[in-house]
Amino acid sequence: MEFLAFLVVDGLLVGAIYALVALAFVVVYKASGMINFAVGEWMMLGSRMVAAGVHGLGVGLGGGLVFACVGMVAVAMAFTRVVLRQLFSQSLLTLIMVTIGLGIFMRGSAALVFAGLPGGIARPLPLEPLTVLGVPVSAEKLVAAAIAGACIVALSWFFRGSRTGLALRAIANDQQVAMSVGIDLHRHFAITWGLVGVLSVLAGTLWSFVTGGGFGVELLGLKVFPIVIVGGLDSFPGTIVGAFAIGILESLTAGYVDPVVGGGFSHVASYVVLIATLFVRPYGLFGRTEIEPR
Amino acid sequence: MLSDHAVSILIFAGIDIIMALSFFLPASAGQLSAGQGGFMALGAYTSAYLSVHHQAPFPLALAAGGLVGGLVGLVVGFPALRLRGLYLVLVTFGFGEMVRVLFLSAPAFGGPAGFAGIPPTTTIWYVLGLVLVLVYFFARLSRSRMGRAFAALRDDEAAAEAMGVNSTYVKLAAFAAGGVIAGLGGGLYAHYTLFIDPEAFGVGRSLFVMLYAVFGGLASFWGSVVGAAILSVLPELLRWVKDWREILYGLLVLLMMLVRPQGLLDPTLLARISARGERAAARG
Repeated sequence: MEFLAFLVVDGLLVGAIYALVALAFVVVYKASGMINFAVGEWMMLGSRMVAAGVHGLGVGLGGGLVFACVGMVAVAMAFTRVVLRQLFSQSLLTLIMVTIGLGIFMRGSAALVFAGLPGGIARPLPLEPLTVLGVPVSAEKLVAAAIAGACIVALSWFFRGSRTGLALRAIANDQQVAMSVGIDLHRHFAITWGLVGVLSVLAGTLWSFVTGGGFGVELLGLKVFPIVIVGGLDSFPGTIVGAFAIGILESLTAGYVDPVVGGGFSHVASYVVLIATLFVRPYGLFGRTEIEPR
Repeated sequence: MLSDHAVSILIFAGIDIIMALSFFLPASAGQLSAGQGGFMALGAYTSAYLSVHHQAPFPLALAAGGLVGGLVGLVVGFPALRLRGLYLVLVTFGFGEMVRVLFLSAPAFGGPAGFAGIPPTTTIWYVLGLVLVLVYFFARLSRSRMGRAFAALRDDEAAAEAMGVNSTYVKLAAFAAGGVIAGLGGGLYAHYTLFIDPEAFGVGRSLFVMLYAVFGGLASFWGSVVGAAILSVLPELLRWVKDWREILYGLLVLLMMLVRPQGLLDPTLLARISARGERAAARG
């Protein structure tokens, strides 16, 4: 019983970080209908920039975060201005290729620019594992989850409460109508990608805290696809629910199934759920039913 | 004759061409697959397993790999009947990832340590032979009833059905045939590298296969041939730039999508080439 509670709590905490990554994916999909296959590379670049600020510039974690946010927003602005602006209303495949090309470019430049700099980010303070109601809880995951939760709340306020958020929701709803009421699409696409940049910095850093670092942050991108399909590609609440669900699922299968069938099943379990969802409810739990029934 | 290094570049380029064609086939019927690496893995592991544990002759092992790829392609084709566009890309992507993890957790196939000791039976002639057979097949296909059904389905599904195209049958056929080609490619790959591990067929492989075909242009199968040939030889030519290689590669893809999103060989260029060919034929 205690083991079960531990697994569920652990899954929830990891799910909070997944939620940040998945939100970075969904804001882009909602605004422009683009699938970002390079979401893992964005996370990688974000965390590497923080690490570069900490180790290379010696400005500390706070300074590193600011440095990385500025850097990633600059990358996002350059990307939207130089590339995306020319590709307005291009086909799905072209837009996918663009994100793949950008991913390759990011990987190559990160390896070149940050060569020799350590990729890990030290946790600000070493924490002892806590025990809450008899359940052991990893303290760094708890802190990471709290930060991720705060970001999710801030983000949902941004979408619900601010004028820019309203405009972004209007674009997600109907691009043409949004344009006709005077919303500048290109400006808001740029804002969306800037948001992706900031989210990448946060999620990449939190993930480095939890996993201890640097290497393999790209793989975080692969977690996104089951989450967004289960939750529904165009739904923010669905994405958050999906992220927690996949986090718990992974934790439970890692705890109970992996010892029996051998490692790795916890990762494939989420993809089994992805395919099952597509068969039963292709638009996800909370998505809009745009797919025609056949 | 050619040096060993040149032969190896040619063999890998040939396998990339085969893989790009395996993506092109369903794509020519409007079915985008982001999981060709999964079919390749199935073909590679099947044929390698038969060669190593059952001493199967190479052509037989290769054919078995293609068969398994095709059968699984048929299974993956079913969700394709309900999904389109983006969702299909995601489900095939998920399929590729599933296959990778399944092989990762299958001790009979070596798991993460990989599968070694595969006999070195792939020669340049097998690869070249299969590429030529496929070129002939695709050249015939585009003028056949099935090829026209593919094109009709890609352009407008409702109109194609109204004209009597059985869309269920055609889509499943497209996926299965793509699976066969990718399975064959995987078999050739396994018997050339002599060692395979699941990471060789992961997301990166699937997305690169897609990239080859789109870079060359989806208007004709020649696009896949040309795109794969260029993009797989290019890293060799870019060897001297060392660390800049990946950056240049990424920039090239971005530039291509900006300048020529329809790919290298678009219908205009194809028409010009074939018109020139016909004039030459008329003269000669």
